Amino acid sequence: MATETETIGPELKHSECVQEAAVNIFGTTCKLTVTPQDENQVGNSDVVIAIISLVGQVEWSIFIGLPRATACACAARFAGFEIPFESGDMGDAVGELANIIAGDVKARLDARGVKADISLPMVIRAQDIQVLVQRNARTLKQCYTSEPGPLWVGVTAGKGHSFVI
Amino acid sequence: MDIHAMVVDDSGIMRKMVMRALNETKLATFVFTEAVDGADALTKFDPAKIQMMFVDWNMPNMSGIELVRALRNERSSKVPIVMITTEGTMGKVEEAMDQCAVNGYVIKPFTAEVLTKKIQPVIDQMAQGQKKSGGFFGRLAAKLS
Repeated sequence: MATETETIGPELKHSECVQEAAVNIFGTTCKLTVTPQDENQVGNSDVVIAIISLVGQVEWSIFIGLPRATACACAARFAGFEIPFESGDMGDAVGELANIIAGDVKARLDARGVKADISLPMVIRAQDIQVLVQRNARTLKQCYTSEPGPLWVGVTAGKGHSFVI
Repeated sequence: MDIHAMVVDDSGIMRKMVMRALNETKLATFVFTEAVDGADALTKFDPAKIQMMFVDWNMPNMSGIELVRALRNERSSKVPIVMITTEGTMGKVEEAMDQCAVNGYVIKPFTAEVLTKKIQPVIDQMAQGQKKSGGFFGRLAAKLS
């Protein structure tokens, strides 16, 4: 997996659950086969980012990034109808996808005896995005290819961490 | 036969998906009232009108489980409630089913087939309570069987 840090700290133990959940949910709900790739940049384009947290025995912020084409394909396959990229429904659909991924993560963690609760998701639509993380925070991000386009899934861990986008 | 159901979810997309899936079950002709969170649902809840509820868990203002507790405890309502949620751990299921008398539990994502399997027992259970009176659920269960 492509990583932003040189080693995985204890805060990110079990973090493979995030990637496993994302691959599972994109596959089952969006009928999307996602393949890991090493490229770290989605590109300078319109993108929708959803952020959702798990708090408890882990303190994680999980984020998914979908550029325009990928977002439109995922949203349409998830909802069963076309959703314009610029519409409020797009944020709703991607937020719900993040919610379902977080639920899957939580279930996987629970199976390992790790307890955590899910926050409400936050969704952002923007251009030319760069994900910046607070110093000393640990982040793992994986980029994927898929038939409609690229996407990325990541997790940041650590007490008192925050995002600047 | 009509069932007036309330669908409670802060996601408009998810409410549409739930309503579409319920219609696809063909268990009844559903008439819907929508609510965006637990507080909105409590405001809109009319025991004379709402016959079933489909409730998300994680919502702002008032969560689904808080809504269920308010309906069961403060309003003494026995309206059949099915939770449709990402919360799939055994602890949450037990909290809803055992402690709050939720009638059914569906984990997202779901299909119309899954909803049918989950809703059928709820309708059957209500029908047993109304069998002698020939009430709504009794007639519906007779039709389904």
